[in-house]
Amino acid sequence: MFKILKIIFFKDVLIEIREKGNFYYILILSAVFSLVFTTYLDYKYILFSFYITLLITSMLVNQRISRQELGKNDELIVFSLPFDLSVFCIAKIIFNFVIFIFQALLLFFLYNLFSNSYYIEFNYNFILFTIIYILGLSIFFTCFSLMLERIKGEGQFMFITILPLVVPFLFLSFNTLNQLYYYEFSEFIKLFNLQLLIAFDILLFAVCPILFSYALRR
Amino acid sequence: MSLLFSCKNLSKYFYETKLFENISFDIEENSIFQIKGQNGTGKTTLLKIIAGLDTDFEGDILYKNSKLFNDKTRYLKEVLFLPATPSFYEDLTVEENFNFLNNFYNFNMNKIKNNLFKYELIKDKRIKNLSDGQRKKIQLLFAITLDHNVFIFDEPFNFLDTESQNELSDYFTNLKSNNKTILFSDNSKVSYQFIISDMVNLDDV
Repeated sequence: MFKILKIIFFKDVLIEIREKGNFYYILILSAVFSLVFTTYLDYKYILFSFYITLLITSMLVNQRISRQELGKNDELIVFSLPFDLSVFCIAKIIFNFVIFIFQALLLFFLYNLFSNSYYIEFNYNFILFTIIYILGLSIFFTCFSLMLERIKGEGQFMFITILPLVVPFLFLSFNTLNQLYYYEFSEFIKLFNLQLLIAFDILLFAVCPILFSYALRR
Repeated sequence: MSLLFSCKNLSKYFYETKLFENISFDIEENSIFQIKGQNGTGKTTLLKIIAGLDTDFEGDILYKNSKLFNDKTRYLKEVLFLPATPSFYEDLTVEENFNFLNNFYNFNMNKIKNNLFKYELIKDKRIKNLSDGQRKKIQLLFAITLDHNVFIFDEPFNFLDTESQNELSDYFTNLKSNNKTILFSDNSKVSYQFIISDMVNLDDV
């Protein structure tokens, strides 16, 4: 299993290094969104808009990455390969997670560059919450965009179809975000919202790859 | 020869529309079986059903006297499906694609002898820079390196020039002589240099 995970992950890395399409896409989207939000929004909302930008850009980038997995006949290239597709899904989640981390760092830099009066503080609370937030995003975006790209050829409506999973995730992350800078790290990790968010991530990570494999092969 | 596939009363519907209904046929081991029919009669769908890639159908398929989907991964190791439109990673070279696929199958690159389909000329090219014909040749080369029991080809003669069609015909004959079973669909006017063991015509059902 780990061998296949490694193979698929490094295949994606090789394509990314060679093509750099997603890299440029991330650069452009991040720059545009962060500039627009920091220009039009009050400084009180900068932190929220940072995570909203992360959500929007990662959704768009994720669709591009998923589309690379489709052949000319709109089927997943790996669909007929003799291995468990949930392993493929996990490999894609890990790759997307790495891409989104890079994206978050870039956005952090851009937001602090463009906003005049408010700086997003880089502390342990911020790091932990961002990792959990990105992990959740990469799991459900990857699974559902791969599934829906295959079914429709286009995955624009994936956000609507995964609403039951997205809404609790968004509520929990919003509540945690409200408390991000109010507590020390030792108190922050004890917050009920954060712990529920971590539990939700673990649940998603366990369920989504199996669901993905089952939906495609059965 | 023993029975490899037994298909009973296969029906396929797309919502309310019937694609085919109550088709029954058997496929013997070590045979070349053709599926014929005009465009839109369901040749590709039928091949996908037999390959285990489409499970939304009515009827029964027995493979070696057991249900088709008991062990999907093992089944896919024995039965290879090659779609009409070859699918590879566009940004990787031919050789990199082969290396990637090599991790899932037991390849034998020595089978590509005598620069078959001019492999040496295209192995370092990226897939996105290849023509449809070259992509098709890559797909067939991929099949040649494998040692599956059953090979399912969807429109294998499409995009190929006459020389390559002859090479493919020889390859089919070679597979059969190695006790392999071949299923294929074709609508081209190619004159085959092999003998078709049996066929099903979807225009008649």
